[in-house]
Amino acid sequence: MNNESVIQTRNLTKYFGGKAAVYELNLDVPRGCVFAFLGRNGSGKTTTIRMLMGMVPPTRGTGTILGHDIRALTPEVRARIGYLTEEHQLYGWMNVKQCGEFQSKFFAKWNGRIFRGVAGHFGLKPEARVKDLSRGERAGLCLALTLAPEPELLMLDDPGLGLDPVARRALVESMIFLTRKSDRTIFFSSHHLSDVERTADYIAVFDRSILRACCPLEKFQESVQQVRLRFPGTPPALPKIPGLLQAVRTENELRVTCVHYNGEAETALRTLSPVEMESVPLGLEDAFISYLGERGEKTFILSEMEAQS
Amino acid sequence: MKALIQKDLRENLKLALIGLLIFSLLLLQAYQTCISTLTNMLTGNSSGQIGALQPLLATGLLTGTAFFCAIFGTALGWLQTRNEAHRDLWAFLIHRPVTRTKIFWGKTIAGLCLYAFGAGLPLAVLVAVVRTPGYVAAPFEWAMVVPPALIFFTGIAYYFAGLLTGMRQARWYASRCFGLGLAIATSFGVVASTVFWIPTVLIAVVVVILAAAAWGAYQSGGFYRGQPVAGRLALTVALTAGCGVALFASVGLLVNLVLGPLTHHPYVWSYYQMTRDGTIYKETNRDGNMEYADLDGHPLLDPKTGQKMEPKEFSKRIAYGRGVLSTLKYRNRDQYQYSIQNASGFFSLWNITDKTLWYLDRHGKLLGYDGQTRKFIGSLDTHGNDGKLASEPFLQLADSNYYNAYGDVPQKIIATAKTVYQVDFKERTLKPVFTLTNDEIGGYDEEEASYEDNHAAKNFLITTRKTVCLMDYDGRAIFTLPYKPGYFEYPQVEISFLQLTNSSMNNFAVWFLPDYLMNKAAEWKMPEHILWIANGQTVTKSADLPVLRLDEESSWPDKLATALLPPPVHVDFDDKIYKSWNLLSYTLALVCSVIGWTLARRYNFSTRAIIGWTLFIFLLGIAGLLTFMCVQEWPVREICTNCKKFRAVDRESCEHCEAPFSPPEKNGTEIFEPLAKV
Repeated sequence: MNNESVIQTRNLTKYFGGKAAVYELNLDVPRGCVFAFLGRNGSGKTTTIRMLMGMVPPTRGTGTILGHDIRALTPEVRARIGYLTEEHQLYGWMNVKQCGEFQSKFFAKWNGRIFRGVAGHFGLKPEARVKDLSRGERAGLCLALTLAPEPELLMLDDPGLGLDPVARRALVESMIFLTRKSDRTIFFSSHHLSDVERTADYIAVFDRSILRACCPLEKFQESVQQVRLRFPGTPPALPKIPGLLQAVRTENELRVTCVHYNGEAETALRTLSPVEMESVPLGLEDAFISYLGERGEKTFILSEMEAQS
Repeated sequence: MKALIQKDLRENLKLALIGLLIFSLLLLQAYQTCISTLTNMLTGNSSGQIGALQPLLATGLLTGTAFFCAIFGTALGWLQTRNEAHRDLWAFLIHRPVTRTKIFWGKTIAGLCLYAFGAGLPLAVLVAVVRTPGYVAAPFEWAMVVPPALIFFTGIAYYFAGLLTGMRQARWYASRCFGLGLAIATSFGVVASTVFWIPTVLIAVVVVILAAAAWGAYQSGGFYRGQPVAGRLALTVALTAGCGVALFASVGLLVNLVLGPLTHHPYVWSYYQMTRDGTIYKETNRDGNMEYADLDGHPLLDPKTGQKMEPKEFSKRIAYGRGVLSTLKYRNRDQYQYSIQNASGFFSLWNITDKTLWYLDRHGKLLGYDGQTRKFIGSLDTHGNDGKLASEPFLQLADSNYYNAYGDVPQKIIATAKTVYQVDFKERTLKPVFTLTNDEIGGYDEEEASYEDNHAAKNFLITTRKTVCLMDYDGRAIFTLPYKPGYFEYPQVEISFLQLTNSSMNNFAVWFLPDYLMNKAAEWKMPEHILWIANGQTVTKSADLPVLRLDEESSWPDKLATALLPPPVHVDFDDKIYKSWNLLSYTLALVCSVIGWTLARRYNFSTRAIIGWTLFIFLLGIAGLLTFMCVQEWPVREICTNCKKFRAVDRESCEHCEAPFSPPEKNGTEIFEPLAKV
């Protein structure tokens, strides 16, 4: 057991019926980092978080969170983990103040200042009923309830889901404020790559139930590269390129996105004799879309498209 | 836990208030029905169940209470969990520094408080009203609270079944509510019970089972897997009952609605009838059509028409009769096997005179209630009506719990173990008719008066330990016979009042009828014994006739239905099961257990578990197999890349070759780097 890992899984697998939602997941999340968990819809992010939180039992494999078996999390361990679910569900009949009071009765380390501070950051009035709150306000209230017990580990399942940019920014600011203040770990899943880029130290990328990448954010961005090749006429057919993710052919241009772009790939591309060949910097969003998007070659040359149709 | 209780109380208070309102209206309506029944009986215009006079025992009220408690309990339990069924709200509830057991008990305490508020409070008010003089003109004793109280407590079983239904995750969606089957079976058990302690124990056991099953579901988020052993056991028991009830209901519907009409099987029921001239005929009810034949089997012809005798014509010829069941064999009301909510277990309506209702209670007291003020006016006992001296209890008879305003004559006599009294209800006095010294009265019944031919009752039949006697109201014996055969084997004596004819001088015929259970044990060899009596004491003739029984032969769909019962039923109740169909039951159980064994192997259970489940399924047949399939998730399997055999996905290694699962196939795009602390 690595004492520095707040989350550790070994061959963690979950089946729903005959379909594997998470397959043989091996993960180590270091203490004190902000860890982003990325993937397309249905790739297994939420299932993984729910397994880690002991909400659904794994089909096989093991996992620990704060050093404790995920199949039997004790109340003491739960007190050290803040868990924010993706749809921000709360009791509609309670008001903001009642939510805080209800939750405070369970946590010995309840920090009312944090609760009021985060709630105030989202402009929540104490007497406002949960059922009357907007989605963003409800997310803010959930975050306030999650942060107030001052957890060691924050598990946030797509916290920005359905929020407008302003509410999402408020949420991200709260996260940054909390994690940078002390040695706490944040594990969150998200589709908002700008938020991830702004906050995450590490990312893990899920592709159809399988973990394909787990590395520092910069490493991921470095590993996915795009090269633009110009040709006097129609670009020639693409040879076999190691690590090819996508290739887009237009009238006189070929854009090739590869992972682990290296000398072998470059040599293969140079055999096409391009007029010009340059590396294009990719943001996280572009890198991520290329990484998880449709693989292979796409053609946007009108004559060839007509011929194909 | 206090916060959880408060939250759940607040969250479900609305439902409890709605329940309170509905149940209060229901009880109010039942009370009004009771009052109108009383009014109608006082005016002599209405017959009815005597239980209708005491709301706590009224069939309508108890039925309504049973349905309400079942529905309210289920709804409360179900909604308490369904409110938090959304996985994120469930996660919000569960993820806190409290054990799931505490969360469960917090919910349960709140739920039971709300149940007590919605169902218990109106019942308590009803009991208070019934106890208060001036509201109900019928005897009250605390034991009468037991039937509605038991129904109320059965509702707690429904509450836990509702919790379980709301929580349970199951691939067969309908099977989520199978926990209700155990509660439904309990309801039937409570209604059918004749003693207090059996339903009490039954309810307690069922509540514990369903509570344990619901608690287990909370531990695992509704799945069978991951539950503690107690939870899994309880869930299995609950679902077994549910599968049993579902199977029973399905087969019942199939037999009655589909197969029954296709294969109509007529019922045949024969019994003896004596005409006024003392001749015995055999009357046979064949699927609703009456047939009459003499004892040699020749059809009885109508002398006027020469055709077969019509029921209307035959009924004119039947002799009046009365019967006495000896209380010496059945010493108290408990032995009459009344169900606990049957009013006859507490009192019988002895008479209605002058707007006064006279009840004979189960302690042998004759109690009077003013029908208009609905207040107790006093008791009538062997020492007068002042109640200062200890009274001898009056004999308890196996009375009907039905009051017939048109058919029953006002009763004139009443008896203790030693003395027969004539009652003057107007003066409220008892006049001894005669007293026994070395004998004991077993039972008595007065001659039936007939409004049709203005025939007034003159006699009463009385049985003692030693004699059977017909007496007039002045205490003179018209005839006395020795009680032979004895009252223990032949507890029932009937008299037929005959008419003298040219060919017959017999005035009476006396029937000695054997005890049903003893006769059954004797394989129906105890005959009905009949004596004909002429001119007072002379026995002119006697006969022994074989007992006629209801033709119990059933149609093949009925037999098929019983064959679906599990083997232990066939072993325990073999006299009720058609032996030739036993084989089918055992065969079905065997087939089911083979399927169960195969599935258990597919699930990759331990040898002990495979044997356990196979045995369980064999004992319970189809219901056992259904239970097995309800509780277990379908086992997912994949082909092992090493040995190419199917392997269970929930094992760390292949059960055949011990190979681990292969890691995810690489596609060359993997980006991994060891992560260090930030």
